[in-house]
Amino acid sequence: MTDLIQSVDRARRFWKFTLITGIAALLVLLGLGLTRDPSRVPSALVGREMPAFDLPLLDGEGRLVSAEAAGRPLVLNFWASWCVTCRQEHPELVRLGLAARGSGAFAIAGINYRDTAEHALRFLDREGHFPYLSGLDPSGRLGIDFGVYGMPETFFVDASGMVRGRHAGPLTPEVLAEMLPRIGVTP
Amino acid sequence: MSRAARLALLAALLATPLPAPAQVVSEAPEEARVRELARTLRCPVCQSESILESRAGTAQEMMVLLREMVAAGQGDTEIAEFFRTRYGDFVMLAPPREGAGRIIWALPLILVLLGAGVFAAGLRRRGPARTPADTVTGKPLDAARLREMEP
Repeated sequence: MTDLIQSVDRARRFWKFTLITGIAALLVLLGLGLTRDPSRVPSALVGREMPAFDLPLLDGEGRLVSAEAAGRPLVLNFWASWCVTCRQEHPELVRLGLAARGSGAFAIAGINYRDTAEHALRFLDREGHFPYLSGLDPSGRLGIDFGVYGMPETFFVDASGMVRGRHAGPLTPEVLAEMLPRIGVTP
Repeated sequence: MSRAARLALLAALLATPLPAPAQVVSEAPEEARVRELARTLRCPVCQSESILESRAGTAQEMMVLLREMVAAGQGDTEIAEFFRTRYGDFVMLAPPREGAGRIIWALPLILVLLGAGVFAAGLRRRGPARTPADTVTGKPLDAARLREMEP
């Protein structure tokens, strides 16, 4: 008799335990899932070699060639005239471009993404020209190679050509302070 | 409207050529395969749509790329790999059947098996134990107690 009662008790405790663990597990999963920003897409490129490119320049003759950056860290910024947040990060990029030019410690280039040269130049006339070159990617084909999904996006490539960081959204001093050391540049 | 006018209208209606029941559109033979592949790829911009459904520029460029790859005779896995190296597993609408993705695929089966096990265990416990129990103590009644309770 007492055996039966004990086993019923044990079964009840087992159920209570299972139920509570189940609910706790569900809550933890929901908590993890719901607090994450679903628009933040992880980059598949970080830790891999930067895709090569050879694009016509936005302004003037010549081409923007990835091989020319070899041996130096590179900051590569995808931008477009139709992108509103690009305006927000514009002064930061100009500042960074001047710093790159001054120290020569790293290279910086822009990729004008899914845009026309006319619109892009008008954007630069209004916001101020970059102190560095931009290449044209009107079809967005290079953007696909980089796994770009929104504008703006910035890639941080080290001297050996490995992508060490990707930032989606406008650049800020905080982002640069985090990303630049990854490619051996003091912010 | 006079009778003659009505007849004339009817005649005019009958004489109007009917539009063809359906437009016959010829498409490239690879297009079906392109669509099938495009349905498995997630648009990176709109996220809950495949690149087939999406009107986003990036998705459309991915369609162009996909068509080129199919026309070049590339295999399904080769094409999927191309997009996965660029956008990660994220670009596949179905999670990959490897690594952590395996858990996701196995989870429904695990849950069904677990449920069946629990159900079977419940049946077995409840089955033969049908002796009447004392309503106060919850203990099964023994023969002596039962005899006592007889009116």
